[in-house]
Amino acid sequence: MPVDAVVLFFVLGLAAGVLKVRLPFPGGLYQSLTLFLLLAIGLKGGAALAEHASVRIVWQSLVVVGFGVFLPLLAFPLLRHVGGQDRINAAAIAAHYGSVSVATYAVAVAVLDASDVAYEAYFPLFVVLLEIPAIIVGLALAKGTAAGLASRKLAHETLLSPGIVLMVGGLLIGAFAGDSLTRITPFFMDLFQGVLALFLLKMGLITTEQLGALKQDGPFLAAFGVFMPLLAGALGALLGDGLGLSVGGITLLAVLGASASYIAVPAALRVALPQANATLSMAASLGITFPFNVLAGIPVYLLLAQWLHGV
Amino acid sequence: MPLFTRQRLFILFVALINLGLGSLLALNGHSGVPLGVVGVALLPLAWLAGRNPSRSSLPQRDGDSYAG
Repeated sequence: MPVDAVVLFFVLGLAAGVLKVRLPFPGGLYQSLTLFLLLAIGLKGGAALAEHASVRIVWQSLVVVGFGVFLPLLAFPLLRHVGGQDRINAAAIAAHYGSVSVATYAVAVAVLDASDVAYEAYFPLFVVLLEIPAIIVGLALAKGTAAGLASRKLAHETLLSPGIVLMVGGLLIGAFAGDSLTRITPFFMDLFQGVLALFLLKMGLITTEQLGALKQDGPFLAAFGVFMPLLAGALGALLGDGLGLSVGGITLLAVLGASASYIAVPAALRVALPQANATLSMAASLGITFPFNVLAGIPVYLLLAQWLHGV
Repeated sequence: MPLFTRQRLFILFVALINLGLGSLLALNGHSGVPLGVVGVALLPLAWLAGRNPSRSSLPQRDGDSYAG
């Protein structure tokens, strides 16, 4: 069975990282690729939203937000009672696992496109919606329900983080640009796969850096980083099936449930929970869960979706 | 039940889930290798959990780790 080309770029990055090859990958390029991907995903979703806007999407969105609230509540007791984490770190890690990884979503979209599996094109809306609730729930778990977004700085960091602004901005531009969108399509859509491949090459390198933190202390976190995506992915698939999504849609909701944030949530928690140990969350979400989803999880979620859909 | 016993059982459970899913996929003609590899990799971790709790490779500062 052939492996998707973008996934192989990630494997190349992993191999280079393990072999300690010093790839000249400028930091500015990585940031540019991230910016491109966030905007491109938003634009694509916005264009689809303009085409398919309906009441159905509104109630689907509400259910998806509820899913984003539920996931950290699922992870938190596991981290506390089996992982032995203190309240602050358990809440911080749970927030990471309730939120989503745009990169994992992008890989899943690439895999679906390569397999000719159709999906609801407005999914970027769900990606944006799933970014935020877990942060609020994580803070409530750490500090009590009054914490929420009480601090102005935290509210700014959470609701106006660069990732959210770029994706929501892309969504709005895509929704309101009409036919003029075709003028930027060659840049944002046709180059998407190539940019994603380069981005994943860098992600492979970053992943090997994070793995070091798990060498001695992380047996539980390593297992947690594999268990949560399987559990949340299965729940996401069941939810997608319940919402009447297509095979691709079920797969994408499973991927969103299974993925863990490593951009938006760390930025918000840096402000809100500075006492939490960032290494634990990042090592689990980026060192374990991201590669697990890319290399093993996504094909399983696709098979699960096909099975649920009776394909 | 002591914490490390719970952790070991949990890791073992996750390893077995991966091995089981990998086998199921393989039996149905799909590639179960990635999940199988993850399952096999987790097995020794079940043994390692809590073996040397006094040593830590992670920063053990009291706070502000995110600001680092």
